[in-house]
Amino acid sequence: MKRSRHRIGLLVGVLTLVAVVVACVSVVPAGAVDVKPRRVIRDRDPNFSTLSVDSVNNEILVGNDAQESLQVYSRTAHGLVAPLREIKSPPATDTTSPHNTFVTFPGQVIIDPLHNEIWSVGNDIADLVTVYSRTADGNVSPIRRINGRLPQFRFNRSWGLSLDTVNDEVAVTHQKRNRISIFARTTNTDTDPAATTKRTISGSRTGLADPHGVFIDTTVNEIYVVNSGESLVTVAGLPVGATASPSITVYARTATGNVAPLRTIQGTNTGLDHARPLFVDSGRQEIVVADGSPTDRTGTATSRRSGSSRETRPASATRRESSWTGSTTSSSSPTGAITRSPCIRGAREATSSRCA
Amino acid sequence: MSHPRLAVFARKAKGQVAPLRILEGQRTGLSRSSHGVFLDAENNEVVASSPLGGAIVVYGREQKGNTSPIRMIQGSLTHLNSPQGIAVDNTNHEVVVSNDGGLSILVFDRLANGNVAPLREIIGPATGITTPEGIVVDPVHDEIILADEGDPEANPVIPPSLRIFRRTDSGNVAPFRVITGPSTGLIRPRQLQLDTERDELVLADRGLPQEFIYAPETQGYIGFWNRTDSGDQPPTRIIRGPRSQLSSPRAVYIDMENDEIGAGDTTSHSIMVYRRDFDGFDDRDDRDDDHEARDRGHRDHDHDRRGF
Repeated sequence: MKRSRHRIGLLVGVLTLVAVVVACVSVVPAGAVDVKPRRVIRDRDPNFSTLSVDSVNNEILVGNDAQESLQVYSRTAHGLVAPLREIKSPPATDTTSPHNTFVTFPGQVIIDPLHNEIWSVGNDIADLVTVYSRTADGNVSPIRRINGRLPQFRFNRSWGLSLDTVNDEVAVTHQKRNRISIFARTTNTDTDPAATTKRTISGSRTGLADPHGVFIDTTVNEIYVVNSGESLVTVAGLPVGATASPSITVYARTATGNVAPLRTIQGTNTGLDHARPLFVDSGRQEIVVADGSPTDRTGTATSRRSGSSRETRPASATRRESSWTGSTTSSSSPTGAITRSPCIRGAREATSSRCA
Repeated sequence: MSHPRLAVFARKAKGQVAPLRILEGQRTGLSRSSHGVFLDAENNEVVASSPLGGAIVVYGREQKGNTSPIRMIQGSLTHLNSPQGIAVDNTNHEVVVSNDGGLSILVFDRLANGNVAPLREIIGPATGITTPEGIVVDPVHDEIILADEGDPEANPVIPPSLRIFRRTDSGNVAPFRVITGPSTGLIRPRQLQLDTERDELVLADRGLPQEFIYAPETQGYIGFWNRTDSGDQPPTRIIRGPRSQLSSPRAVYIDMENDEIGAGDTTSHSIMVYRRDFDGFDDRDDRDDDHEARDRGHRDHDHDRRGF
């Protein structure tokens, strides 16, 4: 009887295996060829797309979107140096190793020395906020995630990230949704898939148009956002493409819904050009933004000024050549306007030298 | 990278090389996710989609820097809403656009500029358009071929497909041929090209690595179908696997003059170039070709010296 059961079990096992193989064959079409390319064009340099400085631990965090990693350097590092730590999964062509980090197309990054955490938001179709231990290194899993693809969030091309440790909140911007979402700092959709946002700012009155960098200034209770200008506006109930001038819009920290900005900086005098990250220096009442290529400029504006009625020139502007913009790799688009940083080149960057 | 720009490389560029020229900046009107780029060699122009601004932008082929498009289709009459794929039909002087936000295919005059209405629009439930991506126009057989991702989250799931319409279709019309089904291996179809010499469709399918799913059967690939295929038809051949270095290709081109196929791969931020007549036993790369050419030159030289 036992032998009979064993035979039946074996038969079921074999049939299952056959079914699995047949199923696999149906999704792997015949004629698949794993052929070597004749040529590959690939940039092995890092592209430091974003930057955050930890003045407590004297470290710099950069999002490297060319190698899909988060790298930590000493704050005083200079020249061709290896990162102290790197959060990085195996390459996507590796289908046998685990891919634990979920780092892809990193938008803004944050070091939070208060809670010993590192934050990153995945742009493109990732739409995922990931949080790691500050000292994480290698192919490590995040300790928390906010999955923006859940139906209650519907992120779409999320890029900006700002942490408010006073009110324990985090803000995320979404390029395609023209929206800012505010979450509780400890939101984790892995443990609570039904988690919700605390507030959102979106709608026709907000002036949000392809928003990128965001900054919560708790000293004056305001949220600052830099907008590229592209959006869909509603005309006679239908979405219509529009390209406005880039802008900086400012809202009350607790604003919610379809609210007009408190102030707007916009116009040809501003010189804004595909601006990405934004930082507010409350002590000096200044806003710092980094323009993308080919402008490659960091601009500073007075944080209390509005350009909605008259155009505002930046109080000062610094070109990449003059040495203090955040991103100084061979890649263009300085997108780390946070603080003074030395020139760092990735360890693999041996063929170009804009750090000189 | 998430910084919108068009970069032009030399055809035989290889390794870590700088582009010949870059078009980028606020004045270009480019937005992120400009997935459709068409090189219109006949008119010396480049046509691109600008999804976030709901626009089609046209540049001179050699245009560079932070410069404005020479034409821009945008506004309420255009019905453009997150345009994706672009194809230029120089026989009929039209631009064909897959319009993701509007679930439609839009056809404009090639020289359309500003807030202009499309000449034709394929739209409605009969079309089956769900997530339109890559698009090709075939003026010889009067066909428009659309790569559609379907909707894996719908209930029931709407499978990905290649949907073939007549070039002059308009309104709520069904495609007259559809390639779809489990045997096709379609996962997340993206850019599509037509090899007019071989009468083949060539597709970049990005697979699932961008969803953080890594398995041999869900990796992206370049797939080939006969133009007239329909139904649950597997591709005639595909390029996929670790040696190919492909993981999530979103773009593909065919260079019939030089017998090559190129792919733009999202997750590795690379461009790979393959022989158009590839096979699995071919390990040669350009370096081998260069050696062959040099050997051939030496042989010819020897022949010359020996008086052949």
